[in-house]
Amino acid sequence: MLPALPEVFIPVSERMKLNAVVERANRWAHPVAYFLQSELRRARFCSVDALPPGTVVMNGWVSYCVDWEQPRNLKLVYPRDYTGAEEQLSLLSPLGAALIGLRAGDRMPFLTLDETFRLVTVMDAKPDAPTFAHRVHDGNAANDTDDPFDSGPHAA
Amino acid sequence: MSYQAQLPDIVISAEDHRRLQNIAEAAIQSHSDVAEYLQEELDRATVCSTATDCAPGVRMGSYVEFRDDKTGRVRSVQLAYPADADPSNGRISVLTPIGAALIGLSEGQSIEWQTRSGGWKTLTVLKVSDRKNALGYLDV
Repeated sequence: MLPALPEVFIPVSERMKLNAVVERANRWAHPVAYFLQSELRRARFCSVDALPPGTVVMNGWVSYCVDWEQPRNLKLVYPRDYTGAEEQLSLLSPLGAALIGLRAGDRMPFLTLDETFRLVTVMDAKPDAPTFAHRVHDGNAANDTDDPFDSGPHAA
Repeated sequence: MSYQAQLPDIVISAEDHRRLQNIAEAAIQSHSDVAEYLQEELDRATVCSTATDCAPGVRMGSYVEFRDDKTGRVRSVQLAYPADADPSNGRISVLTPIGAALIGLSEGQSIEWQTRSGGWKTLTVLKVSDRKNALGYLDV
C-alpha cells in the first residue's frame, strides 16, 4: 500500500492570494495549475498561531532534498515576486506547489515538467524573519511583510 | 503584406506541444490574433519525442539571445508561460507575437513576425541555453 500524502497546512491569511494565483494559472492554462489547485483543495487552512512548527510558508525558506540529490535551501515566492534569482523558487512550479504547506520530515511525490516522478523531502523550513517578528512581538513590524499584491500592475 | 517566403523549420518537444496547444485553445477567444498565430506555429512544427529522435529548438523556459535584424539590437529573454510572464524580469510570454515567433527555433535561424501594430520585423536567434532554473520548467 502506498503511504498517504503528507498533510498540507497553510495560514488562512494566504488563502485569497493563493486562490488568485490558481485562478490566473487556470485562465492561462499553466501546466502547474491543476497540481497547485489540488494541493490547495486538500490543505488545512489555519491561523498562523496554529501552524505546526517547521511548516513551509510563502516567502519562507525551505531546505529540501529531491530524490538523493544535494540538499538545497530556497525561498518560496509568489510567481509575481519571482525575479529569476537563484535562491528563489516559484510557487507555480512543480516543486514549489509540492512544497507549500509541508513540514520538516515530510516526503511528497511530484511530476516534473519533463514528466518524471520525483520525491522531495523537507529537511527544514523557516518563515521569513519579518513575518515572524510581528507575530511574536507586538505587531509593529507588520508593515515589513512583503505583500506581493503591492507591486503594481502586472502584464500577462 | 510581405510574408516570409519560406518559414524556418521549428522543432517542439511533445510535452511543450501539448501544453502550448492548451494555451492556444484557452486564449482563442480573449486573444484571438496571437492565439491563432501560436496555433499556426504548432500546426507546422516538427514534434519530437523519444521515438522521433530529434532535438527541440527554443523550449518553454529557454533563455534566448536574439537580434532584431532591422535595428541590430540584441535582446536576451526567457520564454515563459503566460501566467509567469514578467517583461521587467526578461520573461516573455509565449502568447505574444515575439514569444510565439521564438518557440522551436534553433540558433542561426531567422523568422519574420508581425508586431501588434501590424508591422513586420525579422529576428535572428543567436544563442539558446536551457540552464537549470528554479522556475522549474526544465528541471528542479
